[in-house]
Amino acid sequence: MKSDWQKSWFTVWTFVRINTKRFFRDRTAIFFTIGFPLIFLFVFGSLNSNNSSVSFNVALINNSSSEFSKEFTKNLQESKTIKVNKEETSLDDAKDRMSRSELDAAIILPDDFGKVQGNNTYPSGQAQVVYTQNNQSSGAALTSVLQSQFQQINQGLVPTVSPFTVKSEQLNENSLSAFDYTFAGLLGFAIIGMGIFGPINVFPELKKMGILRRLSTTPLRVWQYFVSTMILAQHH
Amino acid sequence: MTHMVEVKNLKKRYGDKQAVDGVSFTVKKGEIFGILGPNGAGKTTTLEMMETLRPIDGGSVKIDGIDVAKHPQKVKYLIGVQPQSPAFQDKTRLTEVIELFAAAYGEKVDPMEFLRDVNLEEKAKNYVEDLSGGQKQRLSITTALVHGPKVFFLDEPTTGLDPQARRNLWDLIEQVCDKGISVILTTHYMDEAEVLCDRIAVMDNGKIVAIDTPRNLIQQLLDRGFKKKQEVQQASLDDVFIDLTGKALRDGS
Repeated sequence: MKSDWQKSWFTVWTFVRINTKRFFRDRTAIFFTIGFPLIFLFVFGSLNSNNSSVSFNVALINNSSSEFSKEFTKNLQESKTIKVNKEETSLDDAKDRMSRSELDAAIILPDDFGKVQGNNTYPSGQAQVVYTQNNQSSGAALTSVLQSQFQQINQGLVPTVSPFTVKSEQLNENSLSAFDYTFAGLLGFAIIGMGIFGPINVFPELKKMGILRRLSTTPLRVWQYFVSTMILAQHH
Repeated sequence: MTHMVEVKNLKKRYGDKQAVDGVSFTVKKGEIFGILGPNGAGKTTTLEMMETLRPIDGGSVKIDGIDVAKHPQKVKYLIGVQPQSPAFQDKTRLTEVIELFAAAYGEKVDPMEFLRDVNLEEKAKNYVEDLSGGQKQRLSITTALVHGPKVFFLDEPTTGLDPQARRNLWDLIEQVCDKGISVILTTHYMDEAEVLCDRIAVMDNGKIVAIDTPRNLIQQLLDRGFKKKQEVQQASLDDVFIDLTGKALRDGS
C-alpha cells in the first residue's frame, strides 16, 4: 500500500519519464534545445579563439628609480606572457582591481630594486608578487615565471649568488573565483533558456489545446505538474 | 443510496446573464442521463460545475453523497470526464497516454487492458496524432475510466464523427453503463438522446423545461395534440448510409 507521499511522487516521476521520452522524439525541440545553443557556442567561441594562449594580467608598481628597474619594466611591458596594466600606480588601486578579478596579480619592485648594494659590484633586489586568495594559481605561476627570468639575469651577472630574487605574498582578500562568474553566467543562461523554452512557452499552448482543463478534472495537483515540468526543463 | 448524483437548485451567473438558473435533477446508479438544449442553454456550464471545473454560485451538487463545492479533490476520484474535443500532446504513444492519466490518480495500470476495451490495442504503439477523430474519442473515453469512476461525464461526445464512429461510441457508452457507472451527457442530436438516454432533461435559458424518459416526453407531446405535417418515414438517410456501408468500424474511424 503506497503512502500519499509516495503516490504524489510516483505521479511526478511518471510525468517526467513520459514527457522526457516525448521530448527526444521531437526533432525540432531537440534542435532548439541542444543544437541551437551548440551553434551559438561554436560561433561565439570561435570569435574568442585567438585568446587561447596563457597570459597574466598584472599591475607593475615600480618604486625604484634605478636604471635596472627601468630596463626590467620596459622588458616586462614587451612580454607577451605578462600583460602589464599601465593604469595602476599604487598598490591600493591594484588591490581594488584584483578583488574584482580584473587583475591576476601585482608585481612590486621595491625602492632599492636594481641598485648596487654595499660592496657588491652587481645590482640586486627582490621583486614581490602580490595576489588574492582566489588567484593562488596565477600568483604561483607568475612567481615562477619571474623566477626563471631572474635566473637568466643572475647567471649573466654572477654565477655563485642570486642577486635578483622574487617572493610572493598572498593577500588576505577574496576576489571573484571561477565558480562565482561561471555560476552567474550559467544561472543567467538558464533563466533565459527557461524563459524561451520552458513552461512560459508550454503552458499557454497546453491551455489552448484544452489539456490543462482535462488534467484539472483529475486529482493531479498544480505543484505536481509544475515540478515535473521544471525537472524536465532542467534535464534539457 | 439510490441517487448517485443529486443536483439541487444549481445557479451560475456571468455578469448580467444567469447562465444556470436553479437547475435540479438526480441520476441513478448505472443510468444514462442526457442534457439537451440549444446553444447557450447552460448545458456545458451545468456539466462543468458538476465536474469541479467551475465554482458554484448557488445550490449544491452531490456525487455519491460528497459535496462537489466542499470536497472537489475527493469528487475528482469519483468522476471521469470526456471533454468536447479531446486533445493529447503530440509524440505520445497510446500506452503512455493511459499511463499518464492513471498516474494523475496515483495509479499504475496495464495500458493494454484499457486499449482492448475500446478496440485500440493494435494502435498501442502509435502516436496520438496518427489517430482519427473517432479513435481519439475512444482513447479519451478509456483515459476517463482509467481509475474506475462512479460517474462519467461526456460533453457532446459524437460531434463531428461519421455515422459508424457515432454508433460505435453509443455501444461503448452502453458498455460503460452496464458496468454500473452513471453516465451524464450533453448532445445536440435528438436521435442520440432517444437511442442512448434512459432519461433526458431539456434545458433552455439556464432552466430545465422538461425532464423525463424520451418515450414519455414524446407521448406528452402527442397527448397535447401534436401532429407532424408529413408522414414519418420508417427509415432515415442515416439508416440508408449504415445499410450501404455497414456498421463495422473503419481503420480511420
